[in-house]
Amino acid sequence: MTRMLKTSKTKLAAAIVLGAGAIVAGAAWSPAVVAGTAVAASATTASQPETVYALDKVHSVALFRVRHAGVGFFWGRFNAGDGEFFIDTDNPSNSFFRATIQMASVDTGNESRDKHLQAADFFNARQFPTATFESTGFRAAGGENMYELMGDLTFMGETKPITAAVEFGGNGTFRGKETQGFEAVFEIKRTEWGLSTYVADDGGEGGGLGNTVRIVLGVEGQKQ
Amino acid sequence: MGTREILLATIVPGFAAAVIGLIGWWLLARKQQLNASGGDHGATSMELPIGARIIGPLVIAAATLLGAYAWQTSLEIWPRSATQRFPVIALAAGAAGLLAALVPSGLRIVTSSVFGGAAGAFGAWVFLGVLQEPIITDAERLQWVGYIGFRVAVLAAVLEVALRVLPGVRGPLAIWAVVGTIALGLTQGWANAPLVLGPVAWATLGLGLLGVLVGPRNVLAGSGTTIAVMLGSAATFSNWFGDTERWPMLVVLLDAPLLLGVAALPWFASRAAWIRLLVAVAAPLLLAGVQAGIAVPGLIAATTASDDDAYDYGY
Repeated sequence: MTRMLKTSKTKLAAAIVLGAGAIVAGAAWSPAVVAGTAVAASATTASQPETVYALDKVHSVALFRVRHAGVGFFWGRFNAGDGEFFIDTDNPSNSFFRATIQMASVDTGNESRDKHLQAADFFNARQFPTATFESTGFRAAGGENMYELMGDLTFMGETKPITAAVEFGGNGTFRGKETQGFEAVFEIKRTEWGLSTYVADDGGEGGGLGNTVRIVLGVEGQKQ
Repeated sequence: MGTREILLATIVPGFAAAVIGLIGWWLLARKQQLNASGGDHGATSMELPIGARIIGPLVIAAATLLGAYAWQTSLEIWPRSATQRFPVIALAAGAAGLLAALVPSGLRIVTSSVFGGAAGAFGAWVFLGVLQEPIITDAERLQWVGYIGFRVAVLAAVLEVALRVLPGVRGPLAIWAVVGTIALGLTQGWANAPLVLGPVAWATLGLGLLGVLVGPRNVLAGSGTTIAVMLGSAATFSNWFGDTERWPMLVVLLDAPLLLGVAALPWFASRAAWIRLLVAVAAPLLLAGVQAGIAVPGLIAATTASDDDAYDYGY
């Protein structure tokens, strides 16, 4: 029994260290709280980017959509997050995006449902308080102002690569500051991140809640 | 909670436990160990031989693994998400109960406290270890692990004593009723609590068939320790991994099963075993029932939904 406890403690300690490291890494990117959105950006591998746009909390949004009862399309949002980005249309490889979303800020217009989503049955927000995104690549796609954003999504402690379709909104000014904006859309299979509550036995869309989650991020930010 | 989950958390473990109990009874009857005058004798009920005593903890632990599979759809010993760590809790609970079952009844209170408390503390650590500040500090985590370990140690000892005075089918009936009600009460913080504690309750009920067959014997020797660890771990998880902490819920649901020990008081020693059963379950069911009454309406709110803030807690 003692040996089992010691072994379990060692494994638990290792798991805690790894988990804490992941959380610290995710939280270090963005201390502010904003409605997060995914932005296409190419990662800079060596040095800190010279141009940085900070997410505008008021004018950015993170939405998600999931099938309900196999027929409906249900939407929700996250109200708190932050991040930074830069889209360089002249040289897309210079673009980047990183963001952190506070999972406890989920908002579906129903307080009971929001609490349920935060709890262990769904997001387990106490153990995994944030979801983070870190871009790894950005490139032009077919169509005007269309791009592809590649990056690592960390959700419920699991990190997987995703690719988002990005529509660049353009460059402008807002209240005297240089401003950029874009919209990014991607889909995930939530079971791949360990979230299988109410998924159909075949892993499809016919269960109480579908497996595929569409995430739409609308991002706007001002140059720092 | 679909049909599959309900079956895997109730009927299947109950049926499997009953079958295993029948096999155990048949083997004992063949060896005529049921008629042996040897072995330990509890306060008011005879003990089963060691080979039969280990059935309870192992069956209850196995049933919990099955229930965990029902809602997790996979089994890992050390998964990343704490929500999926009940299998390792079940193994610890089963081991603690097994150790308690192996010793003579005269030593069982001590062994159940020691091993149950250690397993209970481990269970609390499994869950609280993944939480970070500001939810819990390191000092608070240590305090809570110690507190839960202590509570489980006490509960394990009380359950072992109580089950000794509830021989045959009575002990399993009492555990089934109380654990099932506690499971409903925990849904206030965690909707899937019945999927973890349901197998504990129903496997115990299935073992009640063995209790019918073997007469006035303690068929759950050692199982009280296993059950105590599962209750402590489930209560810890429900409190810390819901949307918020609910201390009254935690305390009430850890106190309720302690009241099963009322049946072991000297005032009831001379009473009939069925009287002791009623005395044992009355207070725990009342206490846990109040909490279940608070929790369950929220869980099924939308079955008779109004136009305002209607939410089917199912989905």
